[in-house]
Amino acid sequence: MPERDLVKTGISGLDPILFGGIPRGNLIVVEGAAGTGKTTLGVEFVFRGAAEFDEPGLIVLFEVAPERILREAALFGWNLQELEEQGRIKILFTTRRVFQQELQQADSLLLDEARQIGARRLFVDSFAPLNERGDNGQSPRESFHILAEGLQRENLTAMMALEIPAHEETRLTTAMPEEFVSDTIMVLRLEPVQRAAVRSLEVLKSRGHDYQMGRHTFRIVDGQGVEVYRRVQAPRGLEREDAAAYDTSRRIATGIPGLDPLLGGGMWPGATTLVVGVSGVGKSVMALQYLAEGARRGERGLMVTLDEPAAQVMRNAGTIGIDLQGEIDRGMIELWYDPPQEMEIDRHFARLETLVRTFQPQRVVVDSLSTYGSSLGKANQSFRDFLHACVGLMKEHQITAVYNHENPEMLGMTSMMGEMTVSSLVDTIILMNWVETGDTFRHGLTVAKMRASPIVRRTHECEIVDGLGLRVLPRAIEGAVPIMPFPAYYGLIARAPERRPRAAADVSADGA
Amino acid sequence: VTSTIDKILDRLPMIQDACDLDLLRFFASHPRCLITSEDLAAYVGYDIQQIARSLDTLIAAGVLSRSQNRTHAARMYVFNRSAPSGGWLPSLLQLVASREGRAAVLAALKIRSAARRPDAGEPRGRRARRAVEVRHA
Repeated sequence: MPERDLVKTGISGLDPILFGGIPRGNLIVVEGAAGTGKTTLGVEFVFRGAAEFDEPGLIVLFEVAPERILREAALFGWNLQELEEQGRIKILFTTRRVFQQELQQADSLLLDEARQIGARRLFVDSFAPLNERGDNGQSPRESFHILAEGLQRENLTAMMALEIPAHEETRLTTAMPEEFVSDTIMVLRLEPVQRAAVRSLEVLKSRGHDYQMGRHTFRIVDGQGVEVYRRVQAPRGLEREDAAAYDTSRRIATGIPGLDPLLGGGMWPGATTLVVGVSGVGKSVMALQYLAEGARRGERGLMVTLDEPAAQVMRNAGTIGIDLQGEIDRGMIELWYDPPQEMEIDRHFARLETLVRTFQPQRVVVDSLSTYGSSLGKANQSFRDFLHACVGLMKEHQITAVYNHENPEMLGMTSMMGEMTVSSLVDTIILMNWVETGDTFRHGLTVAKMRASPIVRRTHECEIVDGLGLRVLPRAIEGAVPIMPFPAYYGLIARAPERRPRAAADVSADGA
Repeated sequence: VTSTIDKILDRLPMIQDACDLDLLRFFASHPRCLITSEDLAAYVGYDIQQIARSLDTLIAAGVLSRSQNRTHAARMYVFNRSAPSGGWLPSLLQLVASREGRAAVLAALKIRSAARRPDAGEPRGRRARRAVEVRHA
């Protein structure tokens, strides 16, 4: 649909979900229970129209005093009073009955008010579902249709708030004639998450154009208004997928002494690397070194930290000789701490997209993926979708991203990611765990996967040196067993090989 | 406070009773209103005759304008916040915005009403004319 035929709501994050806006002249029903944000959304729709798109608007209220709307709007920084004085907005109080009667009259006083300011938008707050016959014996559906016709005569893009029961089950069993007659339906919900609540917005219908389906998170932000965050799982466009092709002419240095040779010279640009290991094994240290190396080479880096606050990350960096604050001041590194408690994943991802777009990092570290896992609940699909969205975002911008993931197993590793089986989404996997020799735990590092690059899956010892950080040691682990041909072992199918006694192995090797 | 209230009420002669005052407050918070007299009476809490009289007074004083389309059950009322009042109208509205302020003004109106009783029953029409005179003074 041509852009001129679409009415942009101007509400942060909503127009992308509506693929640009709402077809001009549509009758929009915004459904929601008490407290879901219908009034704020509707008032902002009219405010943005008048303030940003030169589209005057009329706000019709049935229950809330206009004075209160003016006061609440001021909290969001919307000066409705000024717009009213300029003749770009009118706020009118009436009753539902009068409103319905007015829309059935050719010389409607209400529509005359709209005409006087050249109104293009209308917000009506609010209707309860019509479930009784009208004064003239009309069915609820007919009543609403008459009302809709009245609005369409004026070519107004009208938004009507519709009060619905809080309980979804009740809503689904209630006949809603408004839903059939209206052109666009948005449902606002307050959804319980654990013991908290999250606001969500869902477009159920929009005649004449496509939109992004599903429930998107939104917030009502002081000093701003409504901010909608697109559902993280929603596809973003083919350009993200197309951008996945690698530049094979160069490698990205990790900054970890001894690691790049194990990766064939470094990571591929735009590659996704997963660093898996038990807590305390050095994943965050490796991440800091990776970013510091980028800064040294003039490549901007972003660290998303979920587990440790910024001050703590800076302290940790200091102990391995990295002046993180200095790099932040130089504009080479950005540190973003988002506490994981009650994380709204759509909002988090929207912020990440904004940071990627504005800061334009070439390196990104996420510390750690497991924390997202606990925020997203137990549904593996949500986690996978989220990581897929992250991977797509990074590839679109050709960012070489490192995701740390905490594996609960201290010694050895029976699975890379436990319940969160997303390792197929990543290009490179580095396993870090402890190796117990005698009474000492030593660091072991194995490159378990690297797409488009031959690797040797050999475990190397590494160490963290105070003031210097992590390094992979050139020597093999002390006392390591020499590699023998398969016939020297039994239990291969069970993946628990044990060496055969030497004589037996020799016999087997001879083919006896 | 009493002297301030008296001073304000002296400058706003159209406010003579509780209905005038409450109607004024209603329109101050609902400055553009499309409503029937019946609904207005229900919202403000006075009988319809009282409401009609107070409406006439406020309209005559220029504080309120009303659409003239008699074919409609509802009328459009527009509150004129900048009606000539020498700044006394906003002062009154600010005063009665609180519960205590409203109670104090109502008490003052009661006293004034009692004081008027000997020459009792100044017709509302005359009152309205007096309000117009003040407006044009």
